[in-house]
Amino acid sequence: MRAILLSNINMQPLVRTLQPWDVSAGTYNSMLADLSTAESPASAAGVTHVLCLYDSDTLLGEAFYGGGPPEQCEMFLQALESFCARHPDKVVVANLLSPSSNRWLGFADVLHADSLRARQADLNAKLVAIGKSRPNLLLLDLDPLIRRHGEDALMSGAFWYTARIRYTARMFELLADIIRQAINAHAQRCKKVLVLDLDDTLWGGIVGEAGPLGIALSEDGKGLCYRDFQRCIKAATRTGVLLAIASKNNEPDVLEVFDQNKMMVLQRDDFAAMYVNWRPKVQNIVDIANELNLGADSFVFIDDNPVERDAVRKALPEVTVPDFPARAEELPAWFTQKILPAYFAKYAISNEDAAKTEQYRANRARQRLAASFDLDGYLAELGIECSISVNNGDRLTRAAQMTQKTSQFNLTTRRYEVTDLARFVRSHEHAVLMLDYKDRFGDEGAVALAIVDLAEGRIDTFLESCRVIGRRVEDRLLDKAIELCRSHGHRRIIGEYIPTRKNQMVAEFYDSHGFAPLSKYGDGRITYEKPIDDRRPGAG
Amino acid sequence: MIDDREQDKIQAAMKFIAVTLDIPEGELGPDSSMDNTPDWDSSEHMNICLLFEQQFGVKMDMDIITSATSIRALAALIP
Repeated sequence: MRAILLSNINMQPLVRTLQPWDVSAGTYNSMLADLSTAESPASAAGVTHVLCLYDSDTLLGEAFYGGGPPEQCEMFLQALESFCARHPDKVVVANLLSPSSNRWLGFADVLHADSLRARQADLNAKLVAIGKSRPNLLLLDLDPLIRRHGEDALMSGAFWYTARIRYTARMFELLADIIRQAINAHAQRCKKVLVLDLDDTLWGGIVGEAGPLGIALSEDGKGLCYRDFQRCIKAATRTGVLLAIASKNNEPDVLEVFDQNKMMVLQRDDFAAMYVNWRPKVQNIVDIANELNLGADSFVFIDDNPVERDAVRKALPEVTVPDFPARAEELPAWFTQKILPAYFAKYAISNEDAAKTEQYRANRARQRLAASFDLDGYLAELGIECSISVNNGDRLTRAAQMTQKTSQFNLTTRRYEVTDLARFVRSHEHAVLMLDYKDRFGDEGAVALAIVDLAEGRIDTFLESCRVIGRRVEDRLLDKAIELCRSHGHRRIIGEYIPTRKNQMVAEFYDSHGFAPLSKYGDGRITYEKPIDDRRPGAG
Repeated sequence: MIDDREQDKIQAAMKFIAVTLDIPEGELGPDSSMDNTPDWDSSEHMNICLLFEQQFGVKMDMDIITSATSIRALAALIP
């Protein structure tokens, strides 16, 4: 590419910061003449990019001080439009009008007929109209950049009055960056897929430990950092960015987050591919590339874990792997200011872009159907083995601990001490049931607990660790509780749900296990019953 | 007598000018200036002042921009 830099002020220092691009600066204040003249250097055949980076205050001229209409602006608009029309093969970059904050009207700039604010809006509307009809015109809004870094840091009176240089060295660096990004965006050189980790990336904490409702994801505090981060990512999907998950987790745990956590901005449908398993992420990324039929060189991988990032960088150098912010509060700004402009910038968003995820998702659904994934198959593959112990006096410490610590999958949230449980066991009126779990990945130990009042045929306590939720382990424990009640002569079993701030995930547990509501109490407590008389057909 | 600190500042200014003008440091001396250094023209001087301000954290005013046209003058500005 060969570029020429035109302006109405001294922009020579930008030539340096745009290196190694081949950029030459037009003569000082030659912008209008160069755009209007057929024989100008900007019109030369080899020039691929014309950068019109003018100073807005200067272009407004006396109008900036309220001294008449902005004649230069109108001339510039005409010259720009005709140049773009004459040279459809050249990309013309021009900034929108963004006057400095020095307003001669002060507070009156809001209402006054000669308001700069109104002037700016009017001229920019005209520029945008030209931009819509001339696809080779690339309009650049510098306002967000100036607002972010501040005029005081970016502009210099000393250089301005010495050499007609408006900006500081920092601004020339930032200008070069934004111009490069905009030209890449205009040329549609951008990445396609954002591959995301989950724990401590899309939400705070580890879902396998904290559970689907225990992760940090909310409308305030740290949880809001992650929720806003998700909002930023969701916005990116509207510009055609495809999302994929590569996470080391148990898939059911993750699916529960999508199903149960109302704070999730991103939904299952937002992801074109989802790989939640314990394989190396490199392998998952390769599979995502195959599934989406896209090169991994169009992937950006975001993960809070430096070890995972390093592994992907080494094994798949074509994947872009940016560093991850150290603090959660930096996530939204980091993503919007660093990741999006650097890798996913687009200048024009098409309807196809907006519908891209949907298109890939449909493909995925077909592929998944072909592979006929289902929960039963998954559970069968895990090779789950459970054993249930009843009234094992050696394990009451652990049992008490489970009643103290489990808050989410806990129907009654009754907290017991070891001494309480010992009394239960001794009395023979209660049974303490503990379920131990292992699968082919390892032994999890005791993961579920039930305390059954055998005198009443009532389930006093029923809880399960979040580590194994979604694997239907609780069904086996419930079956055992029913069996015990039956063997003690009961023809029905009573269940109970006491709502707390944390246990809404099991609000419908008994409804979905064949229990019928018995009584509802003012505090939200509900009792259930289920017939368990095995002599009656269809029962139990 | 020139103390070590002053000497260090002159060295830093020479190194900075060499990098900015993209010339070997050996072509510069403590007495180099816009007048005796061919690559140090008025246009490059603006780059020099912009980058000097940024790299050494020195706020350049108009008087400094027009007067700090030698290694010694720039070195004297280094904090």
